[in-house]
Amino acid sequence: MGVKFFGQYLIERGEVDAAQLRAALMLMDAENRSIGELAVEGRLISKADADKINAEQRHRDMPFGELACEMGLLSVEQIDNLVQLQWRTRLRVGQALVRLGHLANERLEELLVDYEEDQAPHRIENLALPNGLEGNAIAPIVLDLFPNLLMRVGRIATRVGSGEPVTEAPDFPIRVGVSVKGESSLLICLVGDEEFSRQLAAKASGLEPDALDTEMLVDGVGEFLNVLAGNAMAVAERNGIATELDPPRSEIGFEMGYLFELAVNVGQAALFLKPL
Amino acid sequence: MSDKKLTVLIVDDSRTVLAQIEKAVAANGAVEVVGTARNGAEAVKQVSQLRPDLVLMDIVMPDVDGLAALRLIQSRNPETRVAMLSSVGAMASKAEEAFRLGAIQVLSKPIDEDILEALLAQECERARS
Repeated sequence: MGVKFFGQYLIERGEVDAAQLRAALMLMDAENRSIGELAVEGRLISKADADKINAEQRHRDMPFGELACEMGLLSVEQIDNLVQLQWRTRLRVGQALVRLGHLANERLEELLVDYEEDQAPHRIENLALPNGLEGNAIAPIVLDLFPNLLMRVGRIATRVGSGEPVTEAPDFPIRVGVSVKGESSLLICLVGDEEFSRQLAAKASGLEPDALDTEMLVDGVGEFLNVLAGNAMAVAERNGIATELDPPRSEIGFEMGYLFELAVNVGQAALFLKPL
Repeated sequence: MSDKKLTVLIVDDSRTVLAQIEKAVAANGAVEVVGTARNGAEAVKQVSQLRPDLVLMDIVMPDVDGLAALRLIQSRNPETRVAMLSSVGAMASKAEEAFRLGAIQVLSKPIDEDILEALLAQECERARS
């Protein structure tokens, strides 16, 4: 039902077990080559240069290609070619399972078709974004996933309005945000009145709405944002964009961001997105 | 057949998720929640003290995160079975790392209660045999 990677799907279907998947991952680790290894094999850089870049990566949290480019050792075009080569030649988890005899090739083909069908609702449509969010890879995914996840987690129907720039904090008592950071960074914040937040937190926790204190409302909204961000990051990762997630927080700077009004069937709420 | 219940430790920094999982786990009469923890460091300590049959643990947590805790649990108490339940569980990079470190399952949030129930039934069956 949710976004998931292929190995997880196979385990959930009972096609393989965790030990078989682990063996496949180890085979992939042994066979798949990094961008640095491919660059050395293709004689684009020397082994000493690759070691120099790897050493620099210990101090700076940057991808190998980006650092190589910054250090003048590889061009952008060479890095693009290496990424494509890595993508074309990479041993994938299904192939590794077949190679190890844990899955028949014909069965793999059937399962890949089923998996594509299972994940079809999570493919991203093209959405119109405000100028300041164009080019942000996470924002369109968040906007696309938001209505389905809000219905699934909070049983709340919604339509997302167009995003408008804001400079001040919206006038709602509950405001929670999570930061997605990496190759594309975004602050995702949900603001709402008590009725909206109470329904969302109650459905997310399985507790009675009246049993929830304010801390629990904030926690429930924060957990929903974790789920929204995590699912968006999984989709982004499939498109080659690596990100990390910070835990939810209530202190949020609302300058230079965009507020999307939400037409919801419970209370009032809005979604706030800000590129970081 | 033994009547001993499957003992479970739940680890998540969110009170909402702890409540949700406790409720789902309590619906299975063969399972007992023996403890909860709010971060990875607490989880490692509680695993050593409580020796649960199964740990259900989040990945993104403050201080010691779930993957770091999984590594420590597997090195100190390798018999412990750990399943990860996480909002980033659908990311291949996180899920693959969890499996490499010895996780028996990675469930992504929002939690599908049928899949959680199937996991608990499987672990109960395994504990009995």
